[in-house]
Amino acid sequence: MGGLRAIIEADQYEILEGDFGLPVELISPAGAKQTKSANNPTEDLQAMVVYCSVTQDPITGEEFVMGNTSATIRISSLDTVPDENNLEKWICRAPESNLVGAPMVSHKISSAPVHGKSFGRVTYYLERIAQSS
Amino acid sequence: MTMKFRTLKASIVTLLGNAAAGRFRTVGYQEKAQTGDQVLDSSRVVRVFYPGGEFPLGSGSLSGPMQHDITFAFRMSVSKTNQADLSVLDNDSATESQRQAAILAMETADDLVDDAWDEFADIIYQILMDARNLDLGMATRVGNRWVESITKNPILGKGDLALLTGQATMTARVEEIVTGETGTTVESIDMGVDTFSPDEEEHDTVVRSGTLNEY
Repeated sequence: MGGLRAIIEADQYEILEGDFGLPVELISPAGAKQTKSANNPTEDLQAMVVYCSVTQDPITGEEFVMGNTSATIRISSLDTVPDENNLEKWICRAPESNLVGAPMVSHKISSAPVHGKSFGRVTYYLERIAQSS
Repeated sequence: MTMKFRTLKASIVTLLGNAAAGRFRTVGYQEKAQTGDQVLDSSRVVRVFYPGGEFPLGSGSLSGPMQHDITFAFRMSVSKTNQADLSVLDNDSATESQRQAAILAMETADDLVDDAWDEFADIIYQILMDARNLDLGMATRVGNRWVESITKNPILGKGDLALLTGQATMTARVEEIVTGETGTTVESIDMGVDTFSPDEEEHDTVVRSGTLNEY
C-alpha cells in the first residue's frame, strides 16, 4: 500500500501520460532540451494538451475564438521544474493538434499567472511563436 | 432618401478601405464573434459603426433640416505572435548554445502587439483628420469632424496570441433632411372575432375590415 499520494501519482500517469498523453519537449532558458520522462528514460515526456477556447474582452464584451493551448505535465516526469519567475524564457514543443502524426510546434510558456501546480501536476499555457524576420 | 449619418458611415468605410494599402482591413459593422487569427498582423481590423447621435433641440426648423451631431466608433483589434528563430528551436540538431541564443533574442507578443496597436491608431487618426478628408469622402459638407478620444484596452489574458482592442471616437455634424415616411396602404384584415353576447343568436357581432356589422 503506497498511500494516497502514491495512488494519486499512479492516476496522474494514467491521466496525463496514458491514452490522453501527447509527446512534448521542454527547452530551458539555457537551451537544455528534455524529451524523455524523468520517471522512465525509455518513454517520451508526455502531457495532456488541450487546445481551443473562447475568450471575451472584459471591456467591450466582444468574443474572440482563440487557440488557448495548455500542457499539463506530471511534475515527477520533469528533469527540472521551470522557475515560475522566469517562465517566459522556457519553450515547450507540443503537437500542432491532437491528430496522430501532427508536427511538433514550438511555443513560449506564458508568463501570465494562469499556470498552476496541484497534486503532482503542473499546467502551462502556451503561446504561439512565428519565425522572426 | 436615407439619412446623412448612413451615407456618411458608408463614405468613411470607403475612405478607410481606400487608404488601407494592405496595412489593415475595414469592416462597416459590429461582429458578434471573431477569431484571434482574423486580426493577426496586417489583417488587423477597424470596425466602423454608429453608436448614436444627438439632435439638439432648437438646432433645426420645425419641419427640417435638423442638425445631427453624430458619433462614430472605430474599434481596432490586432493580434501578434511571439517572434523567434524557429529554424533553431525546431531543429533537433541545434546545440544548446544556439537554442539559448534563439531564446534570448525572442521578441514577445505582448511587446509587439502594443506597438502594432499604437501604429494602427496612428494610421486611423491620420486618415480621419487629414485635411484632404475634411468632408470624409462626402460630396456634401460635414461640419466639426473631430476625433475626440482614443482608448486602448488591456491585452487579453488568455490565448496563444496576444490580442489588443481599443477604439477611437469621432464626432461630426450634418444636416438631416426630413422627408417623412408615407408608408404603404395595406389590405384590411378580416379579424373574424365574435364578441361575447348574452344572446349569441340575436346579437352576434362580427368585426369585419374595421367596421362593426351586426346581423
